Amino acid sequence: MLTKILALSLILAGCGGSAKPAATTPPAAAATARKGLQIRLTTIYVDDQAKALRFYTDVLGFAKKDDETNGPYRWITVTSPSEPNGTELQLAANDDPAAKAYQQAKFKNNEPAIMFYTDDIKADYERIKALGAEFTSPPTEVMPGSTIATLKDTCGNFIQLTQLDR
Amino acid sequence: MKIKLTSVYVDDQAKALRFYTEVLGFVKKADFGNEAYRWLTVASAEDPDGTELQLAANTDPAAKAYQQAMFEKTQPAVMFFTDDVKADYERIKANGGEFTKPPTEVTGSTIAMLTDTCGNLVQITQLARW
Repeated sequence: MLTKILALSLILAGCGGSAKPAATTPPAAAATARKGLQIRLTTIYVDDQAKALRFYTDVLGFAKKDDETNGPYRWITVTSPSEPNGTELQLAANDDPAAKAYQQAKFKNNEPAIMFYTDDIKADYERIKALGAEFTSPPTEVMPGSTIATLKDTCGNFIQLTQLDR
Repeated sequence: MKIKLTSVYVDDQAKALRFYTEVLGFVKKADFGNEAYRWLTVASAEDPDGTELQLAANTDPAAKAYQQAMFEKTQPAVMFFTDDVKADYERIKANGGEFTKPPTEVTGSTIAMLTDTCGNLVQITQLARW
């Protein structure tokens, strides 16, 4: 407890340094119990970030969140429009050989690189298909209560949509 | 559609479950076995219905090569956010976590890095506020 109080004091004393907008984190609630580690980011490798941004927003329907460029590096994330402060998906440029080999192996094995959840997979399937996406598997019940569909993201990946009936 | 899952490859699921719960402080969420396959996820203790982290067995050669390359380049395989990186650093260190980088201020954030004992570097990030 003492350690925690000391750490908090250090942070409070150190406030006012370099800062940038940090829309991904809600304001600190100093009076309430502190949250522990939060799972708020997942990453997909894409072979073209601009194309990926179009696909993940225009076709899949996510909303752009971060878009920052630093030299050749571009940090782009999208979120669910219904949860703009929820978990972000980073669209990472696939310029690393190991990452590229991994991405290509997954694609060759027909393994999805990422999975999204929906509560109406048929509606999402029809909506996304109407926007021109190529599904490799239409909504299919694979286990009682679990329906999945698979599509290509045009950037080197398969995406799985999953609806769980609970 | 919702983004509710991220994955990390681990070289030992049982060891990873211990590390991610007992050392990092996550709670076990899903644990389904299907012969050799085990679907194992953890979630934030304060947000058990939030985004899950899958602890995936690293049985695929391509995934293993990728994991090893990331580790050799000291690139984190997964990143968690916190609003108090120093408190989490002290807590996790007291639980036996081995940090390769103590909380360090970089542009826009303070980060710390530790090994997860299962082949990965884990980054903890506290974003600066204004």
